[in-house]
Amino acid sequence: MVQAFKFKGLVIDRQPRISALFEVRAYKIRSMVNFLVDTGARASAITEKEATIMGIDCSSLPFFKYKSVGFGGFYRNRIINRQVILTFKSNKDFHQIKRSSFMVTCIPPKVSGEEREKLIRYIPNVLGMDILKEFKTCVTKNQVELIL
Amino acid sequence: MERAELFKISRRNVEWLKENYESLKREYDKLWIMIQDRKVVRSASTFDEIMKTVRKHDPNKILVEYITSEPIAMFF
Repeated sequence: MVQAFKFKGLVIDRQPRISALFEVRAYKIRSMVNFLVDTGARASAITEKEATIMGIDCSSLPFFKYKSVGFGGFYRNRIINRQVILTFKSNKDFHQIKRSSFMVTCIPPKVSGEEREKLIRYIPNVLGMDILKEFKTCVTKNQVELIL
Repeated sequence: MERAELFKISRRNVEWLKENYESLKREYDKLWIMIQDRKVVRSASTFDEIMKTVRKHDPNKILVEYITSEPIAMFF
């Protein structure tokens, strides 16, 4: 019988989260990112907060060609137009997922300083169905498991 | 740093956050915190302020979180 690879995360404050190593070799970036596991999101994205911590200047990134929608309305996100490698650690081994680009949810430039702070506080890094479709996703009260 | 080490450090910080989330909400309500080695190293009221400390640290050894006790419904 073939045993499954299980990638485990934790539920913190009712949010299922999993950590992955986020690499952009073209930018020499290699950083651990804590993602919200969101089966309702079509696409994955890191936040402006995360990009800033990694040393990426969001204003230098090109805009994503499609609009994005949230409860705050429509946004124009930006995109890392370089190969991004996401590495997950399982009970047995590491598993890599490669993407030719990756979205960054950037705060619109025209919002006030106060509004900007609020948005940075609450917008999470999201692992959406573009990545989750490769796994069986199981969320319980205290734990999230991605199974391969 | 090796991949396994990066995951180990991250897991330790995230586990500590989960274990202590309720007490952190009481102590650091409406503040940004920077966690390193299973303790809060710095707190600040704004993201720009906490970033001044974050920039002096290895981002792979820390966890930066905004803590609030306010029950905000989040839809993503």
